[in-house]
Amino acid sequence: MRFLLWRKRRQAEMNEEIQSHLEMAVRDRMDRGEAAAEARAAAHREFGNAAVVREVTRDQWGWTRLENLCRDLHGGLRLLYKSPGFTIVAILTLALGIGANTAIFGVVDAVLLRPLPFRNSSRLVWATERFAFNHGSAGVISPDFTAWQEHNRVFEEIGASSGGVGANLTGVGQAARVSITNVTVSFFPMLGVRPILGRLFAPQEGRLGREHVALLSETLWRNQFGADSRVLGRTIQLDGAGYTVVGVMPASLRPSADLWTPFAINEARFSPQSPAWAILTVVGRLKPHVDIAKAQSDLLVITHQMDNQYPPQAVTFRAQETVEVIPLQEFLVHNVRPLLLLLLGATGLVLLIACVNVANLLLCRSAGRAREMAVRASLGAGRGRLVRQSLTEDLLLAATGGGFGGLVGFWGTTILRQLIPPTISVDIHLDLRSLAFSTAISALAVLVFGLGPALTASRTDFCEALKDGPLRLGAGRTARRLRTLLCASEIALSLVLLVGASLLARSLLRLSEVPLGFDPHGLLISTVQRPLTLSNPAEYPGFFQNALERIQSLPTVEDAALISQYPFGPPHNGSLRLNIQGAEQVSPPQGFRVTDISAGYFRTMRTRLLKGRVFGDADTGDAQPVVIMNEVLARMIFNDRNPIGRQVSFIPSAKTWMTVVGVVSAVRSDSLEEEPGPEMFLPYLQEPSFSMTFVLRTESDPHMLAGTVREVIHQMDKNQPVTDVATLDDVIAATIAPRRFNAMLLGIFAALALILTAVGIYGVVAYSCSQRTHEFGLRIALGAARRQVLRMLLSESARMALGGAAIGLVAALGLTRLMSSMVYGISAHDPLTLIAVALLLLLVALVGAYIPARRAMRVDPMVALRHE
Amino acid sequence: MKLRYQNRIELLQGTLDLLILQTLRWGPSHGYGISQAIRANSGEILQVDTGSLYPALHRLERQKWIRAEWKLSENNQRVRLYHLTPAGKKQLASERSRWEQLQEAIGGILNPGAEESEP
Repeated sequence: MRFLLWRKRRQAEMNEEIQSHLEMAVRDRMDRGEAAAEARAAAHREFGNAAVVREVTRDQWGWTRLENLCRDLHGGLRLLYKSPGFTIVAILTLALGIGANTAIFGVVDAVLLRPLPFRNSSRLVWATERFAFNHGSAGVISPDFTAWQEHNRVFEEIGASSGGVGANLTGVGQAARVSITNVTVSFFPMLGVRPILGRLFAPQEGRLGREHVALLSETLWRNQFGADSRVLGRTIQLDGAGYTVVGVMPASLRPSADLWTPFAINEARFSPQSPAWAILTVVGRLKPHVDIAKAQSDLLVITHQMDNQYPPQAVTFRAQETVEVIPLQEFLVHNVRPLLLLLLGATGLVLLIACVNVANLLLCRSAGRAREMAVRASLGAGRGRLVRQSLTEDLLLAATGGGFGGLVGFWGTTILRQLIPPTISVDIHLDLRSLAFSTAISALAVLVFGLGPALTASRTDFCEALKDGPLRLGAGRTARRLRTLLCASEIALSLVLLVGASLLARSLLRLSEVPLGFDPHGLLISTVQRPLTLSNPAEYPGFFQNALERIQSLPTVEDAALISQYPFGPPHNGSLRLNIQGAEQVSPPQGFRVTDISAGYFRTMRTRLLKGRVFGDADTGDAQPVVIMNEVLARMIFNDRNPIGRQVSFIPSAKTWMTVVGVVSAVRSDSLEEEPGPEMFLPYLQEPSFSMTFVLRTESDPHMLAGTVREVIHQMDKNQPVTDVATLDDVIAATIAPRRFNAMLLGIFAALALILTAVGIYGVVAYSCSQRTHEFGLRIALGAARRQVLRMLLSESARMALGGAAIGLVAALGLTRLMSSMVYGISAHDPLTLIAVALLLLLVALVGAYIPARRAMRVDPMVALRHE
Repeated sequence: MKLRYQNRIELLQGTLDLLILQTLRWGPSHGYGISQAIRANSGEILQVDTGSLYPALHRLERQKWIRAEWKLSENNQRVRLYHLTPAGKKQLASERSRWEQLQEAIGGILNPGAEESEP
């Protein structure tokens, strides 16, 4: 501030000094007899260029650099302010490109690149067995884990966990359903995670009889226990059994759970002879110098050695067992990796298009400013000064774009944070490094395309430039060709994005049209899971039957039924019911779902009965056991023969024969993408299950029924929580939510690219028209029809678009192959999509060219010829 | 353009400073007065360009060899008068001896025989 005041005073003094110099000179000349006007002119001539004298004198004061920078900034701001169209488009373009890139890169960095928040996480691996049944799904059978633990020579440490267990937490506030993860006592010490309160499990707590201790999650501790530190040592009830709280784990721990309890390594669950094995997730820390392949072969040998310890029934499914070991990080991120890489690629393309667009804008602008440059050069501005001015302006543009890009990135990060599945342990925040990186990239583009013309302009002889009028500079063939090339590459890049987005959108459309096999509209579900420790499982059906009858009698409920595993619900654990025994001892080649239902289930779901009958009220626990198959299972076992009346039984417990009484149409129940698998239904009264889901159908909005089941259940047992309350429409929508988000994001990027491209083409054609006004005027004056001029301009634009589209198609064919896992129901090279997108771009190019071209066509030849 | 002026300053730098300091020895003066004095005292041969003069004055002022003050001239006009400071006097002496050395050296080169023939 004081510097500026000083500066101002100094400036005024200098002006006065020069003024007095001139006046003295004039007076001297007049004293010598010259006329006043003559004397004044001569004195000024003798003095020379006062502006330059001022500037070189000012240079002696020091501070010039800073002052010049200030002046450049000020001038730059004024120029940007004076051409708001250019400025807004350029800054918006940069901000979107930079922001999108920053947000996506922040997530990619957090999920894929940064090491896991575990001790020495690079050596942590996930190890699993795969068996022929159940689509070769992954998991380690508990007896094999104990063998690995004892006999392996590749791990420093090894631990296991088993999720998916739920229990009713009672005795503290309202009864709640909690998820419990069982972990071996070695699990947390191996990962190196610490409790925020209390301690981890002690080694002896892994023994039977000592395992009734629990670690709470921070979230549960806050919600259910009011973050009370006196919770340590307290006993909580899980399904009626007492557990002592020993610690609280941080909320950041992933995969998350509400509670952790130790695995008791006992005969019942860890002996090959026991039927109640657990399926485990195994994590180990490799010894130094042991690689993945070595670990894999070592574990496979141990698994093979275990084969003969299992009962004979197990031999079949253990026949083609394999072992797989992959880095833990890879295991945790495998389902989001393709998505993230796709988004990263898309934002990279958008950033590229943004840079190209800004480059194009700058090229056009610098050409338009050639005359201004020339004027300033002739007034005595040095070449370095001109270039520096240009540079400051460009940097100002890039910095502003970067600033707004940061804002866009911040919002983007907030949105993306919600997209990442909760199993992945990440801390996503706005990444300043990637913001700096994207800003630097665009600053570079801006500089290269802004500086080039500035250098050219400053080098030119300004006299020529002034004489020639404003339009010669930058209109050269090279500059025009460069702009056309940039536009064509924009079209190519947009095409790639558009093809990707349309493929995803069409996949989504195909998915929403997939026949489900039932009518999901107007359905509400609510799940009730009875405590597992209830002494007599035979009591389960009575409880559910009672509740169902009460619910069915409610006036708002049109229809209600029960099912043990609702469609699109949590994946059910691999069941050990492996074979089915018909009269000819056929076993289905793949695992099948076994679901318990109430009599009215198919009516409530509106699933079609194909053959036989559905379950009725007569199919109680005392009646003849019956089953219903879906058409897939029926075809698998009985081929074309009639299954009705045939008898089947499960192999591990081959005691009772069950009669097939009906065949229903197949229903999608795992995911929309997967074809319905084989499924068998049992009456829940004959096959008691502790966990049942109520399915309620109503004519009105199913959300209105949300409290119904809870009220009824609470009246029956106030310690019984109700979970998973949702409409089935919402449940299905949630399964494709990532896909929809993905398609939407890519769609936004593609739309962005399309708009940028249209702006780019418009700019280039409009500019080229203004450059060629003279030429058009001449053509028209020489007799060319206006339509011909229009056609000429349009065909130039079309050629550019076709060239760009051709390159884009080739690139799209290569790149969409990487997307094939995300495309459903159509080919990744779907010709219809490719052609439609190419046509769309051609249309955009023609419209973008038509608007300025029509204006050019209207030119009055006389005006145009006088133009220069 | 600016470049052209700067070149000339460099060319004249030592000399112009010397001339200014010498001119101010006879009493304080303003920019116009200094340029007129140099011109008159050199028999109209040396014409000091304002684009060199003012930067030189401001530079000398910054080095504290001269100081400036605003005074009213005989024509009742405010002028910026430059005075020689004690440091400026010392500088003048050293520049003067340096100039003489330079003159001698150049003279020696231009007239190789001169020194021998003198005695």
